[in-house]
Amino acid sequence: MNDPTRDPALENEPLPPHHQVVRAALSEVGRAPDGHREQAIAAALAVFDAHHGVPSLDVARAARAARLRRWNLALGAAAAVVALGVVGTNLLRSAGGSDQESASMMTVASEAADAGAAMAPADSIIEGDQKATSESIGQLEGLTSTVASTETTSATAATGETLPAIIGPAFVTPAMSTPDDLLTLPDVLPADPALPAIETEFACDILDGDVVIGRITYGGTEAVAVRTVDGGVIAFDLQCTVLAEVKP
Amino acid sequence: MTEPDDLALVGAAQRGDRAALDQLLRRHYDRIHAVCRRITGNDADAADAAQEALIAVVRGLPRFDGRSKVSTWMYRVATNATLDELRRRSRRPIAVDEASGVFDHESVGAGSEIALDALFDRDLLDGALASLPDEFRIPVVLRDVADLDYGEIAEALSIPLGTVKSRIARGRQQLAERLGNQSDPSHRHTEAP
Repeated sequence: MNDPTRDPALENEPLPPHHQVVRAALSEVGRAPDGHREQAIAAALAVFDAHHGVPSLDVARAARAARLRRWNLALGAAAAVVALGVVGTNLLRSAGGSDQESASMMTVASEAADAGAAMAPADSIIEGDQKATSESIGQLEGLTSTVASTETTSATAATGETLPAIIGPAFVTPAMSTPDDLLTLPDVLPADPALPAIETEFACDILDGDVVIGRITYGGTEAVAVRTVDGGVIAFDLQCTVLAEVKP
Repeated sequence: MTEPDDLALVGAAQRGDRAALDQLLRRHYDRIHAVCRRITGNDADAADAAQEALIAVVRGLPRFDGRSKVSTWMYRVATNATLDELRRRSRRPIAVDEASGVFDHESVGAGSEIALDALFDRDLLDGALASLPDEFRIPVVLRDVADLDYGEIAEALSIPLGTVKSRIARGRQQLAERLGNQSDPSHRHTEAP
């Protein structure tokens, strides 16, 4: 192939000596993570399939997974900051406590921050302002365990593009067992005043135009149903893994 | 049996051969990811950008006419996808540890000496690279990471060959300064004519 702009002399450009090292370092990015590679290729092939008339849900799933990664990072950092703030507040309030206890609390907070805490319901942590120091420690330990479980969750599990909160009275939680059952859900589930109030931050990844229907159980698992812009329904478990997805 | 070349794979993919496309994407993913990684400055954005790049490659397949090398075209698409991704987020690349304050221009500023080993410090390099303006960073990445020649970079970025040369020279110079390893002035104009 003739390339009129190609100048063979440029191939042998003399590099400044230090830049030879820099160039070597620049190219040392390393092999991309296998998970990212497979996900990206699957998404691209799904687009290819769509252009060739092969129906596929992989594009939407891949887009969601990509957003999950971003929000994991962003919310992880935010949750860690909130956690540290709570610890600081409680440290001030419990000024009579021992240094040892304070150090212990800081360690817990630090572990949470280092682990890139994600998905922690921030409101529930902020409530710590009103609670005893020991409760804060418990919350932070819970946060740490949440982080651990998050890290082992599949690529489709994480936090969301938009974060509609389900706060207030509990909703009726219909039991679903098949994807087709999901299509029978109403637009919004009615609240059930007989149930105790719940406060749940729905932090799963949904796309613009997707609407949270409410809490359900799917196959015996607690879940959240979301209606997508195309009229389909997705059931997420509480770790945001997609349990089922159905198109109308 | 020899592996089909890129052009053959593109041709097959254009005719609907999914396996050929799969092979083409796998062949180039790591390098595309590397380009995205160096342009964005962090792993998460790079993964997103690389995925967007592959999708853009697929969408652009019908328009590829073989006038440029497949790899050049793919890196151009990857570069544009990465820049779109950054624009969409309305920000410049931020190396992970620049955001946390690890990268400090003052502490490693011009004139200070750093060990060559330090150049392999990923955080330091990420921060220095991320601090370069787009017009310098991207040609340097395409030259030193994607290994495109100047003509290919000119084509990929739609800028004149002379501009590519000067931007790469200035980009490398600025990178060296940010890494605290100012180049010997005698090397500043050693690019090939």
